Amino acid sequence: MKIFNADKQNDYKWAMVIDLDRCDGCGACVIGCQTENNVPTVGQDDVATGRSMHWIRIERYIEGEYPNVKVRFLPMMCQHCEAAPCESVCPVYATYHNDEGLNVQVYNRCIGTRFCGNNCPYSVRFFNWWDPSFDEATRNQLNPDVSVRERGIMEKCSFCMQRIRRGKDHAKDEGRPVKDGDIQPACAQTCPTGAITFGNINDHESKVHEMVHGKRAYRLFEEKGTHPSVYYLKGGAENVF
Amino acid sequence: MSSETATGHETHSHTHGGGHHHSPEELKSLTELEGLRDSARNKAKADYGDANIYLSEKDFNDDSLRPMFETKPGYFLFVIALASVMAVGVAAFVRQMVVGMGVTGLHQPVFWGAYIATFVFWVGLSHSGTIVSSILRLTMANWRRPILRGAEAMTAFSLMVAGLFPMIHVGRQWRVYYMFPLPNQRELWPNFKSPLMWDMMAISIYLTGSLTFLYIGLLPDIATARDRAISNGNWRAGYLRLLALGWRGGNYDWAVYNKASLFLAVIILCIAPSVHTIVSWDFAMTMTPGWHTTIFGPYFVVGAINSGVAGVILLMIIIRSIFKLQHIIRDLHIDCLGQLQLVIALIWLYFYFCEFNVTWYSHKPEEMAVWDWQWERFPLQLIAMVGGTALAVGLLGFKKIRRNMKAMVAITILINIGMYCERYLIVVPVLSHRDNPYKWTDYWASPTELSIILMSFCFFALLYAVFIKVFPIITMADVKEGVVISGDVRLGKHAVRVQVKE
Amino acid sequence: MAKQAHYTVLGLYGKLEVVANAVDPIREKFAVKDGDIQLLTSAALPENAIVEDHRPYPIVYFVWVLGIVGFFLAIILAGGTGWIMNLNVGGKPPFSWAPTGIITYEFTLLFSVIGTVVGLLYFTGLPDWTDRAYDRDISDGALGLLLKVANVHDQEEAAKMMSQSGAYKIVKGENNF
Repeated sequence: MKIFNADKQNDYKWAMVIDLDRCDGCGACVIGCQTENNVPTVGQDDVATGRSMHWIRIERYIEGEYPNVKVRFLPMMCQHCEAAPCESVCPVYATYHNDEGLNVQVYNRCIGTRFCGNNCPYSVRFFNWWDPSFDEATRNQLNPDVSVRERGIMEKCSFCMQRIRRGKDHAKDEGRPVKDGDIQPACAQTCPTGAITFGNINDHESKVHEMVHGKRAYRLFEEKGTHPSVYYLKGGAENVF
Repeated sequence: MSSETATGHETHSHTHGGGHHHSPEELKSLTELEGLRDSARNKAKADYGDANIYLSEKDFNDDSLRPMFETKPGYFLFVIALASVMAVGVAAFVRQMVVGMGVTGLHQPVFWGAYIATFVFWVGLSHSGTIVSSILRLTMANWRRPILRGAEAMTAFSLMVAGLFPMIHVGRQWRVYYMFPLPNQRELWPNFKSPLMWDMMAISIYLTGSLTFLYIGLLPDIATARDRAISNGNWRAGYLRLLALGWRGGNYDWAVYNKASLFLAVIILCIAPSVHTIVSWDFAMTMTPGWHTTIFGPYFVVGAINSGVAGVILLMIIIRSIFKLQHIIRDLHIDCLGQLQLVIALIWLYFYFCEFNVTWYSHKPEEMAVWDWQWERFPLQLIAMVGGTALAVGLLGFKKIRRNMKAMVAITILINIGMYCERYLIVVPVLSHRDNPYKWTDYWASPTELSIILMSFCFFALLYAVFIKVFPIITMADVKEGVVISGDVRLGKHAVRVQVKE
Repeated sequence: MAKQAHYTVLGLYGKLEVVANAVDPIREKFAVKDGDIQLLTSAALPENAIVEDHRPYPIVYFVWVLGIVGFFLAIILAGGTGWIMNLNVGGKPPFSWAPTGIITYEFTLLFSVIGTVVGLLYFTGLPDWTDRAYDRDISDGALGLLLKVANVHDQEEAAKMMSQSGAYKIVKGENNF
């Protein structure tokens, strides 16, 4: 698979591989992400109107007519596109691409034009329609490494930026580059079936590099030319139901 | 100088105060200025059943300035009513700002909704004002004269109203200035690669340009109004004196002025289409199916002129009937505007044809998803959108209809309802049924959005109403120029009106 | 020009033909230069129709100069922002022609508008809120023939000539051309 900007070699270029054969749609990744990244809980009503705030979500697709139905799951999060459509349309540089292939969101800079959300074919950008709210039980468990976002701005999956930072810091302390497996985003860590793999695709020894170059790898909406950094491994014909 | 108000319509003699050498004969010929005669006859016929009363330049000034200087109690009621409706919208906006954008009906992935549709509607409406005005100036169409001001004012005010919407619509209204290239300590600059940035630039530049155009066009008329206000001791004299810049109307001044007007007309004619093209690029530059299409630039521009000309016609009919100016903005002018509308509506139908035909024939799945959803969810709006303009095309070919004011009001309102629907159908269905089918949704505008949209219409009406009271609404200098440079030429049994221009 | 003491006569006429006949004898008599005699009207007459005035008014230079200023300013602003804020947005190059071109187009036109207005004000000498020779009859259709002369004698004589040629009102003034 051709990797966008492969000539611009940086030490790190983060990527994620999701094995659809392993995903059983349990939703643990969603909870893991929500806890790690201080994603607010929006409540039933807003979820019903389509304002659910899940940086990663499990999309369910049902094939066939009852009783012969198959359900397929597709974990969906920000694809960290190399040619990200969301970035160029932001009038205030609130989202841009960093050297490590991450599509980053600058919360303080965002004014909430929501243009990025309109230009994202994956619909994985989330807007804070209200002041952030958290359940009583989780209010004292907010992650101090992640800022709580104000109302009126966009947010989205950051590939657990704070964990990448920490991983790099540790590696630097030990005077070595980041090893494969040093860094795990919350979703990958939580996934009971190990469907999510995260790593440095520029490290040719890494697991993601190997998986990406396997036969099952594909990317979503490849025809759009967005060059996502999230790769999916095709699921087989069998399914849970 | 103050005794002139006493002159009635029947006795068209007026005393230019202090004049010693004045021979009545000369003044009489002044009162019989060519061209105003017909209109004066019509007016006199209507008002007094007498066709032999001629309109002098002074009478013309009186009539043109009457909307400005004479105010009936109904006006204040109208303004108060507008302000009250606006107050509801302002309250809704404040609540939205304090509580959050959640009070709108927007949600993922319909991040843009009724606000942006209304924004595009107002920007579109603003287009015909200056475009029509400058095209008519450049082609020296004689019938343009009395309506220019109304059209240009419409442009300026609908742009002001349009400019509110992006600021109402953003998530953090108090940070909107991040979009302006203001020097700051952290050296943060806006992203000029964003179509929204082009949009912001284009609209503010267009607003500056059209306000300048409006003001330069107003200059001689402000001077006329200034003279009148000073003579009558009216409170308006203060600001009119200031804004008239000491205009006297010397022949050299006029030559410079005409040249400058010509330049401004050309420049505005270059700016205006670029503005709506750029607005269309807010949509077309994305990769969203249904938005990403090369036709959008010209499509938006023609749509804008279509709704704008209808807007001008509607406003002109309202103004002339409220202020009894039927002898100045005559049936002829509405007729000519109707012909213009017919041409634009035909072009617009052609664009509809191109857009629908191409989408339907190529049958791309992601575009058909939007298409099917449109027909399923918004059939009435689709009918209104095509029907309004199609009806106009069917009817405007008839002179009887173009000169029937009730019919024209109905047609122009229907066109604009259709155009509003069109803008709504561009923004909403595309977003609610876009690439990722997992996220297909529906969208309903919330009461907050509706009240703010209603506020925008009231705000426009209020701006226009205030404008009429502080500036002359008729392009007086242009009408007078048309009178000076035209005359009758006898051709056999007919007298033919001709116009001189270098 | 305004520093030198001068006298003005403003004759108000009612009819275009009358004032047209009055102009040339007055010009000849006082050897009036272009610009020292003006016809004040409420509507534009065709150029040089009554009073000839061959002073040029090249507004186009103002339009050009400011247009070019706007052109380069926009390139600096839109293109320069790309260079200085060199952030990768969607893989677009730091200096991108399409957006720079669009902003440049708009700015050029904006500055041309400004140039036109500056040119208009420069050549007409506006704004001038001083009490210049004028009569409010002019906006009601009177034609004001305004003459600038050097001394009181000429002023008297010009006033007489205007009256004789059909002016219905004469306004005399000092240093208010």
